[in-house]
Amino acid sequence: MSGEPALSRQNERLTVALAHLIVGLMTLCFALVCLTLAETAVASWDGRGVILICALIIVEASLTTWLLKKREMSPAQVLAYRLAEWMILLLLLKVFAEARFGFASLLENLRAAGQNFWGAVFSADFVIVSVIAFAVWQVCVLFNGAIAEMEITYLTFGSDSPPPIAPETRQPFQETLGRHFLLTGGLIALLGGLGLQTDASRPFLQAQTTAVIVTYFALGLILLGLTNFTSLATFWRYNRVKVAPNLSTRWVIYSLVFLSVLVGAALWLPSHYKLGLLDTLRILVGFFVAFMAAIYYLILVVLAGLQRLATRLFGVSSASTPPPPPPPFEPEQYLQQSGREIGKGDIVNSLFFWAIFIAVLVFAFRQFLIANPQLAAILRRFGPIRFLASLWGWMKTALGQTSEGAAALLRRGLNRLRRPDRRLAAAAGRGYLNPRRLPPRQRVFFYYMALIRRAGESGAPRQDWQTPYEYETTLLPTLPEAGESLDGLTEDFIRARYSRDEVTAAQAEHSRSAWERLRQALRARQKSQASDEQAGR
Amino acid sequence: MLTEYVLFFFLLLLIAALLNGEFAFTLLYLVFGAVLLGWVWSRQAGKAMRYSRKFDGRVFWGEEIPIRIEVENTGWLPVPWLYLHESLPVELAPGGPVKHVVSLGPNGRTEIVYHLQGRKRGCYPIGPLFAACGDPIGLARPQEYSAAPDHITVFPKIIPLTSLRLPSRSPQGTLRHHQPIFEDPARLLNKRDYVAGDSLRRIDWKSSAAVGRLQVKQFEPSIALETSIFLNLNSAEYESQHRIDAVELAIIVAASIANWVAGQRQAVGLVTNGLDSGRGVPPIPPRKGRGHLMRLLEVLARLQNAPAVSLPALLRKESPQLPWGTTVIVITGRADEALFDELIQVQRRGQNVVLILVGRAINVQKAAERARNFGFPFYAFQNETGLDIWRRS
Repeated sequence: MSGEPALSRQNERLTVALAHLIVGLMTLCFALVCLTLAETAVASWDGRGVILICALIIVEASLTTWLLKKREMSPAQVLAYRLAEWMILLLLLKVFAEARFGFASLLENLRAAGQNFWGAVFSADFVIVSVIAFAVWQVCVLFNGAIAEMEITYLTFGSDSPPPIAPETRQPFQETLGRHFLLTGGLIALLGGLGLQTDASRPFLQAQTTAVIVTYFALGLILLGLTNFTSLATFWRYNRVKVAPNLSTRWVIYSLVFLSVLVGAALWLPSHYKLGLLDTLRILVGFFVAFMAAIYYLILVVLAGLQRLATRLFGVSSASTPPPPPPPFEPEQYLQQSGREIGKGDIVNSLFFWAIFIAVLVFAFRQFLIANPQLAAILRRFGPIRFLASLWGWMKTALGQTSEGAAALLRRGLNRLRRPDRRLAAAAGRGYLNPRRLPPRQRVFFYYMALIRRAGESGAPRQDWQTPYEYETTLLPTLPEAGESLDGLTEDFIRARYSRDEVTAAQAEHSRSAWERLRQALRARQKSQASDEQAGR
Repeated sequence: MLTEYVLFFFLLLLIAALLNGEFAFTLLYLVFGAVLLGWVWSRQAGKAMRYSRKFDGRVFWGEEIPIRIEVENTGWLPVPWLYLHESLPVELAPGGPVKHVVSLGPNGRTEIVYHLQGRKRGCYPIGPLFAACGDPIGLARPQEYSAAPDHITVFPKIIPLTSLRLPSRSPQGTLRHHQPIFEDPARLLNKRDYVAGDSLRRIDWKSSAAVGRLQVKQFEPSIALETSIFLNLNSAEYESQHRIDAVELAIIVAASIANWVAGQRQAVGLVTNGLDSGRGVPPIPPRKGRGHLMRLLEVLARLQNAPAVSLPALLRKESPQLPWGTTVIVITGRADEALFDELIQVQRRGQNVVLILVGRAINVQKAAERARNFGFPFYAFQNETGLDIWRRS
């Protein structure tokens, strides 16, 4: 019994450790991009060994952040601790920055300090290394702060002890991590872009930087998935929700599938375009015009053929010539700058690119409006936007109706093909059903439904909420002479509808005879009502 | 968070435009693909979910009710997590709502079983079932759905009675009786030698031939006990301090008597001025059979006391509709002059009256004396243990 919680605890610790590892790798990606930028921006600077320094800085930052969170120190204590930590770090960085090219280099720097202290201490090499190290450290601290918060929340919400934190606090660490992910991601993209802009002549560097940036984002998505899981797991544990044992395994599998599809699609989709949006639109319109012209030409050819046939039949000589074919579709003629060489693949690529781009744009805008309903309300006040919204709504409705109609048509056709007794189906379609052809159970249903219909016509309709017994009680005062028949038919229906007992032909016949008596009683009641009404007039 | 994503989106556009960074589009696909794919995933998965509840809609008091929720994913997209929250009535589920998280593969299904306790009569909603599902990354908002509630009826508590003796004047039934005027020719008791004066119709010719002297059949007297229970749930006719307990006791007594009468294969009906789902209940005429008993119990399960027509008025209206010889069992919380006046009228119409006072009624002794004077049985029960007088063998 105690094995299961222990295993669960082990899994929780594993999840947290995995989160730390992912954060470390993400920060390393950030460090690599920083290094690339520094190397391309300052051509004379050599970044050898700095990545090792960054890795050590990541480990140090992770450990100190974790310790500080655990000890719950006051802000003043944290500040003092951090200042001391950076003093030591700067010292170590200085030693490393100078010693990474050899011990002689360090000694030379120390000697130079005697002549120009500030110039020797704050050498360009040391400043660059320190800036990179500080950026890496800061990113790592940011991420690890959120991870530590997650760890505390996740591991403290024990099932045995009362939870110390309200479940509302489950969101912040997830949101904080998401924010850090985007912030650092934006920074990486910017630095990477700047790095590539500075030195665009090295395709290998470009591919490497792109790979590093994509890796950062892929790891970030894994981290978000992990925090989503921990956040939900905490919430479920707090609310004493029973969790299926296979959930975590399946979660991992589906997350991997999700990410594989996503990364695959992101790498496969076109990331460049040869044609601008306007050129692409022009080509699209030109293609549409050419297509319509081709259809028009085909119609003319058919008509000309018919005309020739008719003149031959009546023996009249005709000098009509077939219409000239339309000019072939040339994409180049639609380009703003003529003379450019454009392949078919480029056109498809550009079309695809712009379609996706516009789709992403529309989706982002739509989601933004959903999240900000006040803004949506303000926008709706403008006439053109209102018109566009109504046009979109109309198109959506029309499309929906068309698709529903087509689906219904298809379904009906398939059902017709599948049904063994087509005559029965046809009869049902016409609203006529022969009860003698129905199985006994269905016959009982038929007679009871007939009773409901006929009683409703006679002014005693069944209410939706009424059970058969309740309806019988309501109907009985209006048909006192047919009480037994009513009772019998109700019982038959209940047995046929709600029991698994076999309904025999004799029982169906019993229902039929009960229904016949009830029909007579209802008819008599209808007649008496009609005569009463006439007498009243 | 969405604002941050939109800002990030514009930053990527800026990088793509100013720095000619093609990788920015790859990032755009990656991040917005995660949001879009997550949104589509959770939306489609949520739409493909089907929920059904399986349980017996009618249970007896004290029974344990197993309820199965079948969850089926009819789509091809797996559901990483599905949170299910079933709201339950506190009367049946003291532990609160049922909460589960499951994961379903494509076209997968699962079953959640929980139990309720039928601890209080009534008609209760089971559900609604709230469900929420989302994608594994969690960038898209989880989709929420709900399934409509079902209803369960808990019958009132039934105390099995063994020695309830109700008066009847209806001959030719199935219950034994001591008065020979109710002899039933379908229930042969014995045969004896013929004595002068015996009806020739009673001679058993086969036995006479076998024995060699004339034998006559003797029949067992029997009665038909057609019973109609008049259950008073007019709240004004119960002591306000003990109304809740008294009303529940009245319903338990009515259900127990109906069960006993139906068990004797006799007809039983119900007339009440209580409310069922806020509406009056039409009189249920006496009928036989388990099905009819179930119908009575269903109504008794849902009945509520309310300001309504008084019991004497109800008797005045409904008792003339009952056939001669019917046993009218009146269950009420108060017996006053008006009620006795009406009961005498009922008795004069040839119906048998039994008066049962429930709860802490006032002037019980006086009511008992008057009932004795008018010659109809009278019982007073303060609690369920009072019914033990009908349980002795």
